[in-house]
Amino acid sequence: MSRVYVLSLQTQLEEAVAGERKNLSGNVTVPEQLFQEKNQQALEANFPGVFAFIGFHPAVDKNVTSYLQSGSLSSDSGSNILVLFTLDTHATSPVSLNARSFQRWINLDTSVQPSYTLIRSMFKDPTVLTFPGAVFFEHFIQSQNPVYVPLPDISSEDAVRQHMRKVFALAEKVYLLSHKKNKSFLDRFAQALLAEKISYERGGDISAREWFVKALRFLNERRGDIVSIVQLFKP
Amino acid sequence: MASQTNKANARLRDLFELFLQDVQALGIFASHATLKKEAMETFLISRGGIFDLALQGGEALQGLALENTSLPVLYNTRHWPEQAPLAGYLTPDSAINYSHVLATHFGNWAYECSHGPFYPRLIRASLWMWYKNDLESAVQYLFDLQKHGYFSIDQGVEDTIAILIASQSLGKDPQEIIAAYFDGKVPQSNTDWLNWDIQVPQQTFAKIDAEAARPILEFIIMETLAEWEHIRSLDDPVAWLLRQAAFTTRCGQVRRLCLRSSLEPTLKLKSILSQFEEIHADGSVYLSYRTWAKFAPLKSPLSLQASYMLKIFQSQFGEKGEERLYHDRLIYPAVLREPLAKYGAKILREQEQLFEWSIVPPKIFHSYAACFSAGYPDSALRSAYFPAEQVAEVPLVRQFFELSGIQEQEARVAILHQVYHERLIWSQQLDALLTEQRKQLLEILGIAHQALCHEELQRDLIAAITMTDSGEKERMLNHLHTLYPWFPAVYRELAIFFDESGDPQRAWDFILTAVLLEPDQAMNWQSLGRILQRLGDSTGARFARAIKEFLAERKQQ
Repeated sequence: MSRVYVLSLQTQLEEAVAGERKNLSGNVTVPEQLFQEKNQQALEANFPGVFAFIGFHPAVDKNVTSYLQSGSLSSDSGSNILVLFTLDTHATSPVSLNARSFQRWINLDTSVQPSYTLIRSMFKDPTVLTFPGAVFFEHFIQSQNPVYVPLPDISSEDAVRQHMRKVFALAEKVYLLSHKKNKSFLDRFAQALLAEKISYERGGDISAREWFVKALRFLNERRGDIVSIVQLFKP
Repeated sequence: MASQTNKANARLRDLFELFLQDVQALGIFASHATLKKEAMETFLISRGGIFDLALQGGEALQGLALENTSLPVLYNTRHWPEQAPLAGYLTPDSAINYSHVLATHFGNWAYECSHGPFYPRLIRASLWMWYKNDLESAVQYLFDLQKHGYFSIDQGVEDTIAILIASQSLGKDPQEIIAAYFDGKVPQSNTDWLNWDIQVPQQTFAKIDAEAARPILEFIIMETLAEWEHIRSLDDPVAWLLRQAAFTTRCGQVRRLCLRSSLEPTLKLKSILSQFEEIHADGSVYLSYRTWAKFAPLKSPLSLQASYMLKIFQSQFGEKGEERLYHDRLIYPAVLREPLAKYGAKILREQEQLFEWSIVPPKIFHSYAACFSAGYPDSALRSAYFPAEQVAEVPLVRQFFELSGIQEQEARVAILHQVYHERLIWSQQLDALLTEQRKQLLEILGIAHQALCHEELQRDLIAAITMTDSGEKERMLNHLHTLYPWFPAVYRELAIFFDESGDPQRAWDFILTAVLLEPDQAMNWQSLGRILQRLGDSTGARFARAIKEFLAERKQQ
């Protein structure tokens, strides 16, 4: 199996807003400063697509874990969806995924599993959520109503992969259409899921900026990170 | 008998591996600073000759052979086994030995000093690797050669990789590609490979085709990330320093190779390349030693960088600062995280078991100093400054102050704190000194410091040698060892002390360091022979005595 590397979202955000500025500490900054209004343009230019954040428990949802470790996520999700997930270690420089990845949080109860907690925080009534699943949102800064898509079948790694591919393909299609027409992605995505009979939940009106800052801080305190799989060159 | 020979070889192999490491170190460090011809010649005359003599003698008399199969090997035209492959990695049946490897290093550097990057050899060897294996192996091999100090100019490795990437357009398979370099034919034998004229096709200088570059660049980046992870896990100060130094060079090369292609990097790759850029820039610490005053203690680059980078990161990012510095850069390894995060870089000097990390490692001192030190080749260097009050009393320094009209002791000490201790303290009197006077003071301080070092060393070393109380003697020698960690006689005396105390095992590492620091000193070989004898290795002991005799005779002539 080829090596799969992940990189912290924070490092990517730092790169996006850094411009030509460089000092002794490189691009490094604190989460609060990343989402300032002055960075909005740079963030939107560097993250033009939509986001998906995966909620999973490394032991309870072990087929999701092996799916993430396999590294096919990046090719499954296409180039317009940035898929994020939690890692149990800092990844501000690239970290390779291996059999030990995610193991530190393996014994945490589902009620305190970081990725579950972060998704629950987007919903007024989190009891409606069933895990594992992926929450979709489209902006870094504006308020929005995220769309949560639970994974109905996690009986095997392949079942996880098939469902993920289906949802990502749909999201990609909706994104391209809505992008072309300059329309909001999330409403159209929800409609498309409904048409495909894929169940989903809509989150409350949340400020993505607040959510990101809190999420990065929350994981930082737990010596973890929000990461995505490293792809090197654009297609 | 057979097992005894193996044991003997194991001891001498320790020494030979260290000789090789020292030579490799010179190549690695030279990539950070143009290797001056005089520095290389001094190194070859004072060390290269005796290394070569010892290695060839060891190979002939002891049958001592290289064993490390991860060692990349590269041909040379002066001393290379007839049937050995011209490139690749060591195999037990290749007959390639220490002296062959050494000859390649020395030959490469001599060429580079006169002509710049050694393209003909780099290209020939990497084409061979491509032909025998694949393109990825050829590229990996080039980075491995660099990691082992075969070349002193990093540009050569980088350009050769760019040429290889572009060469993919020369044919549909390796045969066609190789033939394009050899007038349409593929070399059939070792002799062909070594002797046929090589012509780099013009197409390889064109802009690199994006799609052809993608897989190999992705491979290079992934391997670089793996190397980064690996280096963090090293726990030996010498291994760490050498790999880190080579890695900072590699980061710059990989970044530039990516920029040379027309592929568009993702934001993630841009983030990674920015980190490579920072790590590459951290490598500038090596060159900064050239500007140091002759009397400045040779702190390790790690200790130097950790001390100010930790302060910067911690002041900007609080308790998370250390976390970011460790992860985003390559300033120190995992094993030092806890003490550095808790106590800062000063802990390296204060804690005995961490002391080795705080100084330029003695076992590669000469390579380091030949490349960077302003005071080279003096090895009577002190790991700490003398107190300003003591320096103020040296007649030359006193005379300087008198002639400059600075009479008060307090003012003199304040100036010395700033100029000699390099502390940032404002001093009115120093401000009044003219630039020319400051320069003169620096010169004088260099002489005064050196004189104090030699005086202290001579006095304390004689006192330690003549001390009859064993406990006190050990304490005195250890104290000297901490103060003068690059001075060979200190190691020799420690080796003799432990040998005579019935602990030849402990003596062994000290005598190895003494020989490395001063390989042309007959007394070191004499002690080495005695310790080998005590360790039950009489053939090794005979070998050491033979070298000693040779050196003693050479000195008489």
